[in-house]
Amino acid sequence: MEAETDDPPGIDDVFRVHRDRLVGLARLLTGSRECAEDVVQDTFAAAHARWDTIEDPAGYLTRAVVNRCRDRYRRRLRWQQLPWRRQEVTRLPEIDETWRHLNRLPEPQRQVIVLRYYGDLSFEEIADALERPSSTVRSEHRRALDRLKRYLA
Amino acid sequence: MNRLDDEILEERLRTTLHRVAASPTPARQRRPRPLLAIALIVVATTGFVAWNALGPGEIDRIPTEQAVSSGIADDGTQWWLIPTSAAIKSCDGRMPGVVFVSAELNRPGQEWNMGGVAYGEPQTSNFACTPPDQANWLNDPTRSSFGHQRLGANNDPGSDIGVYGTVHPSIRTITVTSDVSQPLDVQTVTLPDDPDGPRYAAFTLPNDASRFTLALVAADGSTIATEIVTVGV
Repeated sequence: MEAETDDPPGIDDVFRVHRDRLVGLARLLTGSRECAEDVVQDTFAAAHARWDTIEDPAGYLTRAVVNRCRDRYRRRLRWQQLPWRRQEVTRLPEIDETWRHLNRLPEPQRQVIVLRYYGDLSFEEIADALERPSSTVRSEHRRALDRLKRYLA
Repeated sequence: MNRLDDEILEERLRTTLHRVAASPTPARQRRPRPLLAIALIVVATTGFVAWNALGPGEIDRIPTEQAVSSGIADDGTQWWLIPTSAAIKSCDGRMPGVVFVSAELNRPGQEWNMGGVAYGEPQTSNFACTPPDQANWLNDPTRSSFGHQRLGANNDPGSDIGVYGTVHPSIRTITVTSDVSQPLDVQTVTLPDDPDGPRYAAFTLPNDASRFTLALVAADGSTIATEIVTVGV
């Protein structure tokens, strides 16, 4: 008879495994590594108090980070005087060109593209994270690809 | 590129996003924030037991003799910048960084109410007890972390603003300019047990400052980075 080892992972283990991915995701959604680190730090701090109640830590943290990034975006709309950068980040022409065009997308479309191609999420998972209908996510994805094709043509 | 099919575009997007996400931080203007303040909350919620003799979170005395910097704000409030390990007897006295202590907010018998910063990237969610990883920051003199808070109780907007931060060992001066005060040069200091390590600084600003700029200046006088801070954000 095998022993059951279904203990949920501890927050520190999850932090070690997922932090870099979440910072990357938040960076792409906010455009700033500093904001991304803040978002992920805040997310783990908030999760800490209720860790025992979280059934799917990776999914929960992804959704929480996406939500906090969306909050930052909304706040940014109210604080237009804050510095905000859109600049070369890799100095690789093709990468920076694509990144520039990604940042020209409407925010909802950019979020879908980031979650799809960086987060490797399904359309259903993206819909869940962004709290939008799956059909809307699919249409935003299609529009984003078409728009990027025009930009890059 | 005339025609771009979905497959090629998708691969290009994957490559771009992963490269950007992994790219180093460019020279920047960024919004500082209190780093350790959240850590202290985390520690408090995990039931630490060794704060001091008065009980969890209560102030027995402020170890002002261990302050690495101190001053009196224009509104008359005394403040100190103290090594975290001297102020908080948790984590076997190994807590990193410094805490900014306003006398107005920290009276004996009350609970501690302070913000703090530590140099480097947090290694765990409960990073108050785990020294941050300083390696990447030490390779990038522009890295820094700042926080600010009102000196008075209940975030009193009539009280002055305390600012505290940590910078690369090469940064010797922080030149502060605000929308309501004259430029101010603040000398950075090290901690006694790490004289060649990260440096720290604290200063105060008038209560009506809404925005200030921090220029991080190296020993040779060159400005390494500039940070713009909006108060309360």
